[in-house]
Amino acid sequence: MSKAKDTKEKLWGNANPAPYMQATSRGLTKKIVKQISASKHEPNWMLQHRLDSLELFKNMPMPNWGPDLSKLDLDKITYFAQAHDQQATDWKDVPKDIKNTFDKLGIPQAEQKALAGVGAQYESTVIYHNLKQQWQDQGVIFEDMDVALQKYPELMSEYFMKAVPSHLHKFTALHGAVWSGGTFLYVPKGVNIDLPLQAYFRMNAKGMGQFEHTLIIVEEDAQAHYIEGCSAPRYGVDSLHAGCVEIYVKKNARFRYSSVESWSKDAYNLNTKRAIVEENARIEWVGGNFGSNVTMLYPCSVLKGLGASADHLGLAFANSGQIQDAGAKVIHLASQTSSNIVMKSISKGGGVSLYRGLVDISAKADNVSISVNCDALLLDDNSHSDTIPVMKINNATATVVHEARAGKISAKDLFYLQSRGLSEEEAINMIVNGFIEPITRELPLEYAVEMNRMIELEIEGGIG
Amino acid sequence: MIANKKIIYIEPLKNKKRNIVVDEDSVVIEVIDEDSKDFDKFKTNISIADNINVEYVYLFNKNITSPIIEDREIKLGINTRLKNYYCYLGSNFTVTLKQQLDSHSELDHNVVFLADQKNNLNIQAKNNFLYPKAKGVFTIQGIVKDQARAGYYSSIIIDQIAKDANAKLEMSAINLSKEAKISLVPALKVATNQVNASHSARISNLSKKQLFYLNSRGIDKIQAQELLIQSVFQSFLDKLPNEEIKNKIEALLKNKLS
Repeated sequence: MSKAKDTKEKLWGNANPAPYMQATSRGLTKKIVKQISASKHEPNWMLQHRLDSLELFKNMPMPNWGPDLSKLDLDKITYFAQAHDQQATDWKDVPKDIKNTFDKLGIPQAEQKALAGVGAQYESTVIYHNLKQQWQDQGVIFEDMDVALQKYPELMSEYFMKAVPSHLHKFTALHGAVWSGGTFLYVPKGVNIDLPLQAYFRMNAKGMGQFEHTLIIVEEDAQAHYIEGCSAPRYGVDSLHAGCVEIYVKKNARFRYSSVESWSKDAYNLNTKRAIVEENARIEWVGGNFGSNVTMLYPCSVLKGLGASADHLGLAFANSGQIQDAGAKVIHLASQTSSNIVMKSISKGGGVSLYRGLVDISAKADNVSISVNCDALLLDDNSHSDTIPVMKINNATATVVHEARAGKISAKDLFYLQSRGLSEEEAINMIVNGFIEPITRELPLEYAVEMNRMIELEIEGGIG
Repeated sequence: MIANKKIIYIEPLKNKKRNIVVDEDSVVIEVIDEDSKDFDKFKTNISIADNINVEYVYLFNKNITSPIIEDREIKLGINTRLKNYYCYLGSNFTVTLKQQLDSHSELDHNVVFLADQKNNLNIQAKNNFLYPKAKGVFTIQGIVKDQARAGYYSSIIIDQIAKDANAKLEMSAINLSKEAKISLVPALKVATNQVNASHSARISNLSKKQLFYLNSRGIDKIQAQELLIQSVFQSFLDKLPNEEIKNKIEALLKNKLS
């Protein structure tokens, strides 16, 4: 089996039997929301938050400004399923079939070699969570959100869904009602975690919904890198991912959030991510979107403190039947803040990729500097690429630069490479790898290799 | 400019709806100002025939405070060359501009705007490449000052059959006041890969370095801003195919800056 096919099998194959689904029901009701809360022994305020969010969800309209979501039948989604009721800190204690899945995804191996800690979620609950002792000793907290809610209620009530409130849109309201699992990371003042931490989210059963919540607090002068990966088998039945990521980067801190989203092509990936960045702090988003039927994902940085900065690097691949509606939002609230957005997209086989971006400079933010660069590569003549950057400038001292290009692989470049002995497919792969290199070089080597394989896999089957 | 091109003056706006047909090589001059009738909403359809070269100058300078909305649609014929020079000065003005490019047509669309005082300028432009081998260059330059608001949405839409399209959109704006607001959206919608499409946008102000340089030569901030406005307009004025309209815009600008 080629390495690309191997990647395909481990991400979108490998479905395990799901007997636990017999105890679940489809559709969303108040009863299910109460059951989720009760099963986690949550405090009253969280139950109330869930119920308030449910009411918001019921009353909010579906977003109508982006991809068509009318085929997403929310009544056919299973909102909560627990495959295993114990969380392990040793892979030996994880049920065999689930461990096999994560073995094939390479998670335990990566943990040993290159990670400071790992969380693994299977369906609605986290089945494994571990942080290396040296970071525990320095006061780092890396927990499953359900555990964190019990152990750190003050931090939870202070930060949970404050950056991304339930009322932001219909799917954050849904998330507020049914969220389950996810990661809580707290990096104390001055601590520099020099190895990445990783969480991996796996949906296994047909028609599942996954709603993990990631809450990250990086205290003053601290540094960390966190990686999220996700995948699900293909069934030909819609599934839904409506996760939420909230990141608080305090004064002089630095945080990198990397994600490689490889949901199966029958999934709707409607995720919301937002970072609040304080004085002289920096957030870096590095993301790749490959899977899913429809993706709507626009990580947002709110630059709140003087001199704060944001880097958004993103890549989306839209193949046949896929809509990758991705982008970045940066809201400049303070002076001398800066942001840099680099987005690359590749469309093939009728796939649609969109860059939808917003840069917004408030009237009080002086001397803001913004650079936005979008490149779209169309591999055949029936694919689509849209670039919709919105620039709202309410301050006269700002400098904003935006550039975008759309086109195909240059025939000249192809000819050059083929004249040196490469096949057409090899030449295309080489050119595409060069096109995405500004993104992959920012990922740890293993993930960059994985991303290149994903591209190879998507390109396989010819170019129009 | 082609020598001895016929000059066509479009008569002042009198009706809410009008159709303008251009069917020969010409310079067309259209001015909407105090001589035009007051409408809160009007529609203009412009049709440019096949195989001709046209230069079209449009000046909007109507100083009334109530909002005005124009719906303008321009159709370029096959193998048509059209150079547009659009100048928007003042007023609360909302424009919906739709331009359609036929095969082998070439459009050079130049826009300059100045939004000042408490004016609100809102332009929504859609440029549709409908058939193969069309070319479009869109250059938008604008200035906002005082308490003005300006929003410019310009999209290039290339249909699947519009192979070998060549499209370039450049937007730049200068914000001269803390109380002014500007919003730019340069959008690209591409449905085929046999294209060469790009866009860029830049929003800036007189930099501290430039200001220091000018100050050191005895030019104060107000004069420096005037120079900046003049330089933006000068590059536009230099392209105009008709001295009379060029002088008119220069005079209006001088009046605004005085």
